[in-house]
Amino acid sequence: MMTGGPMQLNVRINGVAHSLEISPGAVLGDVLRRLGYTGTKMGCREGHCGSCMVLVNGKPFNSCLLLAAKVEGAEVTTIEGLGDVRNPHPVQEAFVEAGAVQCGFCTPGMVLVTKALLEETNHPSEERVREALSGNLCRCPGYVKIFEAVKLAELKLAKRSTNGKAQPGRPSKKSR
Amino acid sequence: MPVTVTDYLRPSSLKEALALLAEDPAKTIAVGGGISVVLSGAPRRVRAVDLQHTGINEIKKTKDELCLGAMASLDDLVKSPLCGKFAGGVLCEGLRTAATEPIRRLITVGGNIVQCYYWATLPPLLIALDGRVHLRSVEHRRTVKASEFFARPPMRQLDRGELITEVSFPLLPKRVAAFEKLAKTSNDYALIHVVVSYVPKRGKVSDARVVVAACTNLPVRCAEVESYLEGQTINFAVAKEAGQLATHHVKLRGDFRASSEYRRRVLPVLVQRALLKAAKKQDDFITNR
Repeated sequence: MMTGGPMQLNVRINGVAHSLEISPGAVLGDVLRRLGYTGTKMGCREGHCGSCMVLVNGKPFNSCLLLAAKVEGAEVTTIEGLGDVRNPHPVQEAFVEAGAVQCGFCTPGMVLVTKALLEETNHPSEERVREALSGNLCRCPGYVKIFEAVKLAELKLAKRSTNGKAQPGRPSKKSR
Repeated sequence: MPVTVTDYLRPSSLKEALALLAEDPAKTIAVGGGISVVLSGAPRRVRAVDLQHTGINEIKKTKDELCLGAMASLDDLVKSPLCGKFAGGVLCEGLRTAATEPIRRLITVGGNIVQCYYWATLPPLLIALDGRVHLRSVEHRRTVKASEFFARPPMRQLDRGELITEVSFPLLPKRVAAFEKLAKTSNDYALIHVVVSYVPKRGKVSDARVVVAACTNLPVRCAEVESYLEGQTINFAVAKEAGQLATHHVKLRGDFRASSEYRRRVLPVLVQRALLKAAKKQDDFITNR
């Protein structure tokens, strides 16, 4: 979409405050990728595939359809905000261990939706898992292993909360 | 050339938003969730007025009505206990199928009805449940019955600088309703929507509404089917006949998603299912009373 003159956007991305100059019609996904958060994949740009999913104040949104101007004052979490190779988030660990990743293009969206889901309820029903992930398309291995990864993530998070383990650290600059 | 947003304005009250819309109505658009702004292919340069902070997102129940603010998202509605209890839960049941959960967070009540894409879910529900659309501009307020509002494309119903602020449904505890949707997946674009509602009187149909959408350009009430159902007891044969009647009296669209011939074959089945589902709710209602 073409846009007019720039406007100011104040937003926190992965816990870091940003004051950005954006085009008024820019979508959040493009703004994030220009900042280097390339884990946010712009796939269909129509809200069908879910590879651009990010969390805004903890809720999943398709960043290809979300005007960046609408997240003024919000907390945005991208996949880089969860963890990295050295210190992955339990949901990321679960996806790797369950073999729920093939090409990886849909994975950031899947992981973020799973994180939001397990924060909403720590023991979602299978129906609820299917509904939550229905906006994320995977064209590689199918969904069985992804649903297994959600179950595994549920166990890992439950174990972590029992053990009182600390949150994974912020991503290092190298990992971006 | 797609839409060019020249300015993005964030009014903090409805009054301020209406004043901004009135300043230059031809070049100013109201932004709800923003999807239609992002996806619009219309070559226009526009000022965008974001309604996010105008306070019109409330879902409330008054003595006589269920009121939905224009900026409430479809996901807010799906998760609202007030909506869940309304009309036997048919509102939530229908809207849950409108889109995926993240997209439902972006679709607003106002946006869904003013854009009124042929697959939109809220318009047929509004008509079938006797809804009303409340509009406001700097100069006036008015209320339009949903059936009149969707008689022509809603964009043409709006005066310059006018805004949908709320929709409301009368609380009719005795009315039973059912929703059916045909789509390739549970939350894909609808190929057919059917919503039926009626008031059971001694086991017979009274004040029926049979609304068909997604297979038509705008949602339509099937007057012939409604007349046929009046005074009938819903059973398989009556529901089947009603389905056949609907097919004969509705002009069906054909497009790249489904041909009109295909829709003609499926529509009677969905009308039949919706009526039998509503009759089941009627029976449950009587049993549980």
